[in-house]
Amino acid sequence: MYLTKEEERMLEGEFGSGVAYSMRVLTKLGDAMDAERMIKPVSSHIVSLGYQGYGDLAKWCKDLDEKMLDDVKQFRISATTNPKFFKPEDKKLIEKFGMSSSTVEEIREGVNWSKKFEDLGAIPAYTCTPFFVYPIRKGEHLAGAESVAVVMYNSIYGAMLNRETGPTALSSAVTGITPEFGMHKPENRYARVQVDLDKALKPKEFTRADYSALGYYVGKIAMDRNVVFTGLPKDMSVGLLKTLLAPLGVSGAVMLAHVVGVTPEAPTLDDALMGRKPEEKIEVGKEQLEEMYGMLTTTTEDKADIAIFGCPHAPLEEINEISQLVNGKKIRDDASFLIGTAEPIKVLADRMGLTNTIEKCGGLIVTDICPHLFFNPGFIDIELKHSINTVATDCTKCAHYVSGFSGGKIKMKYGSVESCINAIAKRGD
Amino acid sequence: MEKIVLKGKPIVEGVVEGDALVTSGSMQFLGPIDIKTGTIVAPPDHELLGKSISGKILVFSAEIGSTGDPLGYYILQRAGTGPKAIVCSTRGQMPIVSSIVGDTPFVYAPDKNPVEKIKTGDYVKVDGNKGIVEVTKLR
Repeated sequence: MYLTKEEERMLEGEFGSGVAYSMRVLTKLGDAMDAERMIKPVSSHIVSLGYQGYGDLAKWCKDLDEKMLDDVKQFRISATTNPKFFKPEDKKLIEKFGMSSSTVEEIREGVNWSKKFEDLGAIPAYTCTPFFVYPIRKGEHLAGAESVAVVMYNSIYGAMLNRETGPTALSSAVTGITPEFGMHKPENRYARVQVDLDKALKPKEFTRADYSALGYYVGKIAMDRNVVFTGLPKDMSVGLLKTLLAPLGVSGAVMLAHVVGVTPEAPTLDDALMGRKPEEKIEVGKEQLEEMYGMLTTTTEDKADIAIFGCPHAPLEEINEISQLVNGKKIRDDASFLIGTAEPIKVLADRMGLTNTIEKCGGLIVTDICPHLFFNPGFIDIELKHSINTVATDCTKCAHYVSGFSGGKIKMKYGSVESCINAIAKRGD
Repeated sequence: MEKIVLKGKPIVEGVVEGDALVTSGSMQFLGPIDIKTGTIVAPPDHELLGKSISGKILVFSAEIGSTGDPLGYYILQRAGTGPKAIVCSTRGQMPIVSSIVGDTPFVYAPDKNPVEKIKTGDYVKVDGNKGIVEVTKLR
C-alpha cells in the first residue's frame, strides 16, 4: 500500500519503537485487506484487556499495549476508552458484594493501567457506548474496537469505521491513521442480508429483551455481512436501536445494519441495498425469537442471584424505564441488581432521582465497568458475601458472555426487565 | 506421499511446520479456550471440543467473537499453549491481527480452501515469507 513520506519514517522507527510497532500492525492489516492508503480518523475507541482484564491475562495484555506505547508521549488523535474490569473507588459496590480490601487492592493495581491512556490524552469515557458521550456526524471516519461501538457509529450515526481489534484501535490512536478499506469506502456500505418481520409480530409491543433476541438471531445468520431491517417502527429511539443492534456483533460480526426509514443511509429499502438485490432474505417470527430465549436461558430455576441490566451500557431512557418498574419493589437480601452505564449518564440519573429509586429497591447504578466481569469465575476467583451462580438479564450480550467466559458455570435466565426483577424479588411482594 | 501447495499473500513473516488440527467451523480465542492447556472447552457443539490447539497448525473457516479476540490469541502464545500458526479460509481482520500480535506466520487468502484441502493429522508447513502453505498427506 502507498505510504506518505512521514508514514514511512514512522514505520522505520524515527518516532520511536511504539509508533513503529503500531505502524507495522496497521500496514500489515492494510496490505492484507488491499487498502491503497492510510486515512486520518477523527477518533479511536480503545479496548485494552490490560485494564479490562484480570490477573496474568491483564499483565500480558499490558505488555502488548506497552509495545505500541513505547516512547509515545501523546496520542495523535482523540481517543475514548472501553470499560474497566472493576472500579475500586465504588464503595457502595464493594460493600454490597462484601469484597475484601486485599482483593480490591489487587484489582486496583491492575486497573490503574488505564491511567496511562489518560496521560496520553484519552477521554476517560470507560464505556462500551462511546456514541452516547462522544458524538460523531455522518461521513466522519473513525478507528476503534468494541463491537457495539462499531455497529452503532456506522449504522445510527453514519460514521465510517471497520470492526477492528484491540491492537489496531490502539495503533490508530498512537499513529493517527487507519488503513482505508471496508466500511471506510461508501461503495461497500450496502446491505447484503434483508430482514423482514413476520406480519404476526408486533414490534411496537416488543420489550427490550425481544429486540435484543431479534438482533441476536439476525447476527447468527448475517455473520459479517451488512444488514437491512424492514418493518420496524419509525419512531425507535437511539436507546432501543442500541438494544436491537448490539447483539449483531455478539452472535455475528456485523459492522453495519440499516433500518429502513430510521437510519441515515436508509431512507428507503432500495437506498440501503444501493439498488442491488439482497444476497439473502430472512423472515423472523415468534418461533425464532422463542428459540433465542431458549438458547440464552440455561437454567429452569425461577430464582436468580443477581440481575444485570445495561450491557451494553444503558442510556438515560433505559435507566428511567427500569427505575419506574422497580419503584416500590423490594429485592431479596441475598440478591442484587446492577445497571451499567457511562459516568455522565449517571450524573443525570442522580439529578433526576432515578439513582435514589434504584438504590432504595436494592439495586445499584455502576459506571466505568462491565457490570458482569468482577464476579465471573472465568476471570477471578473471589469470595463474595452472597455467591453468584445464576444471573438474570434482558441483554443478550450479557447472557452470551457471562455464560461463555464462565465456561457455562454461571447459569443464565434470559427475559424482560420485569421477569428479571421477579427472579430476585422478595416473594409475596 | 501426496503433497498439496496452497498459495496466498505473505502477511506475517516466519516459517513453521507441524500437525494440522482442522475444523470447518469457526474459532474464538478469547474465552472458550483453557489458557493452561490450550484445550477448547466451549461451545458444547464445537467440532474440536476437548482438543488442544497447543503446538498445532490450526485450520478453520472464520474467527468470530469479540473485538478483543486477537488479545485472546496473544495470551495463548504468552502462556505457551497457542498454535504454531493459523490458516484461515475467509478474509477477515481477526486472524490477521491475531497472527501479527501473536507473532506467528500468516498467509492471507490461500487460493484453495484450506478447510477442504487440509485434514486433521496432515503435516503442514506455513511459509509466511513466500505466502505458501505446503500440505503433506501422511495417509
